[in-house]
Amino acid sequence: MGKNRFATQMQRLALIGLVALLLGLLSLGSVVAQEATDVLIWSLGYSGDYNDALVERFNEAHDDINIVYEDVLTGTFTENNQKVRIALENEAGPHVLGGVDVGANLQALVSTGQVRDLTEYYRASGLIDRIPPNLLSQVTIEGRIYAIPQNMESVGIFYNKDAFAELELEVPTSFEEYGDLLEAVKDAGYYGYTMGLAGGWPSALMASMFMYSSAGSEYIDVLSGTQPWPDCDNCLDGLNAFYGMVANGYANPEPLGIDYDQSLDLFYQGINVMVLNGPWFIDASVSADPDFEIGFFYLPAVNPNTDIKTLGGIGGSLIVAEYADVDAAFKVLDWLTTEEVAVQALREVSVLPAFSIEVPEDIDPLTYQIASETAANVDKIGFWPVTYLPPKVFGDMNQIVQGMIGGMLTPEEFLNEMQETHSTYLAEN
Amino acid sequence: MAQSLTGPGGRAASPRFRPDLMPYLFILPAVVIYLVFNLGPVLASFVLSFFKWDLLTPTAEFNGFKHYNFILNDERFWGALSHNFIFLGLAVVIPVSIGLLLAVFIYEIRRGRVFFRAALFLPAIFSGVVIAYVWKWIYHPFAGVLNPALELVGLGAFTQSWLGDHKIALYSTFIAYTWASFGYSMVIFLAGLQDIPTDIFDAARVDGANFRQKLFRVTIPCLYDVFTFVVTLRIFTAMGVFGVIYILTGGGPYYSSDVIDIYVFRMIGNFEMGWATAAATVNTMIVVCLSTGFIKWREWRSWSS
Repeated sequence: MGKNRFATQMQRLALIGLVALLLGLLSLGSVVAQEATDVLIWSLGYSGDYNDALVERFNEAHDDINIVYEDVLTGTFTENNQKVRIALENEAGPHVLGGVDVGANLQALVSTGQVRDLTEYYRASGLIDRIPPNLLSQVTIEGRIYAIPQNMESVGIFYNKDAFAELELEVPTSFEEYGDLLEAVKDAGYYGYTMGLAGGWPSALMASMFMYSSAGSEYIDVLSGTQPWPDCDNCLDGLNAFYGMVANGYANPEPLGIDYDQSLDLFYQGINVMVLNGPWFIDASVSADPDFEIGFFYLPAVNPNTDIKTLGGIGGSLIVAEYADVDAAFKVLDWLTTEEVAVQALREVSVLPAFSIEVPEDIDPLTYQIASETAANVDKIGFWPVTYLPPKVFGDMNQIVQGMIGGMLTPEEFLNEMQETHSTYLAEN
Repeated sequence: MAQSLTGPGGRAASPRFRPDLMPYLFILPAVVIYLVFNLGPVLASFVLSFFKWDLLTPTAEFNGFKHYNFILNDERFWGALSHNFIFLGLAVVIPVSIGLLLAVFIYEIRRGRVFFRAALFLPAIFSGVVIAYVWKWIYHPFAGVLNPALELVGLGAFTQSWLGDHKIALYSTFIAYTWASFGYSMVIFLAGLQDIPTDIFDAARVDGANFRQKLFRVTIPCLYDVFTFVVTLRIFTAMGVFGVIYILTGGGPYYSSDVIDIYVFRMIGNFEMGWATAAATVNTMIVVCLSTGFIKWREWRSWSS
């Protein structure tokens, strides 16, 4: 009897112990589940809506990391840069940030210690072999790498294929042919070159396109401050070619009276047949849904001997905040630099990846053409002027270009005024 | 005679109660808000103007008067300031005059007063951004309504590149500013008119005064203090104009419509806080001098007459 009672008590104890163990394991499991690290990603680039499914898939596959993805692009680039800097400084911003401008903006973030050094990550992940050296140099500061080039841009001429067919025009292969093309377009009652410079943007971009197209890497020396602006004769040739768009009646009238968006409307409405733009234009034109098919070619070089094919560079880059959890952030970087994510961006919003991928053929033909040509010419792309110029000088450049287009300055005076503005800034800083 | 220690209700007054402090207590919240959110930032901006700071770096480098030296030698600063003064000169005349005439018109009419008052005040309640975008499309060289309207009424010779021509861009932005601002002047003048005793107008009418004589001999002198207020308000808004110009032209083309606040905004955008605050401080001092000088001059004229 006593033995049976003892056995019953032991059975009860064992049962209680088992239940306690199970409860313990369950609670441990829930604690482990609760310990998933949130990684907040801010995107300053294209809408991340298309990424929702990818993010969901990532979160399902990772118990230890939970990605929270937010699009924060509002207002101008300057305003966004301000927002990012203040958020990072106050440790109230994202852990991983996409779409960051390289050049002065990245340098400012690095100089204030807000951005994590990714040099070791590059080596450990093998990413260093996937980024072209000229792009890598743009995110390298004093020998250390602080950002991952996320998307690549190159500027060219988007044209109305239907109008070209109607006028029996061919894609030009030289600047002379381009001039003939503009003349033919003008004779047919269209405007050949779309220009809307009110408000600044994209004045400096357009002028730079023509200066790159004529001076090549010599223009980089000018932007970097190692060669005076007025000494660049090839830059002057490029400016004259740019000014010729207005002076010869190739561009729409009143380029200073309409802004960038209003000028694009002229293209969508078939009034203008060509527009100088970057790959971001593909996604915008899909939304605008014009009644014609759009083609693309690179602006033929003003100077055939130039060593730079076009203007462009890193559209946006990824950075990791200094306060972020390193392991979690690096796992997210692994994912963001996968071919799967890059192809999705290419397919959905025509964002060209900066790291090497196999461009799939089953995407939008225009996207495929630009992605392929950009990848093939990646070492012949001159970077955005703001990569080299201090933001203040770049802002002034927009206004000074307006002065030239409005006839207030000659191209020579433009170069002199840029020199004065640039050198004054450098002297003050 | 011993003073009563009881109030009107017969209750003993608390020895701690100080009725003379009550007004100060009532204005205390407003004073605190003013000090923290108005005067505080102005003083902070003044102090910052002596430092080189990019808004983010924890430390700022003392630069003395270097920023003032830079902006006072910067022809773009003087260009922007001269545009502010042009704007000011126009703003104290045109929107004020339009506002006064419309207020007199509304005051005089018997029917539709409420409708006209509401309709004419309507532009003033719109956000400056909305107004700027409306005018951007009005001025559009291809799709805008202004040039076709001018052609329609036989004024085709006056069609312009309203925002693209550096000679008139500033004045085009001023038209948008005027459209947005005359309504404020109008309602303030209207309130002033309603305070004038009607027997003054009746006396003028009995004396055979015509509209012009009533306006210049009766209405305007009776609105002396209202004028001071309206013009002072215009000084503030004209010297601080930003949104309309920024959206319409961005200060261009080629700085032709640049004003101080856009100049400052550009500096802040470039994280040049020292230059930006130095320019803002100079502008603040000019506004204070102008408005104080104007008010003192009006007081002196009022006293001397």
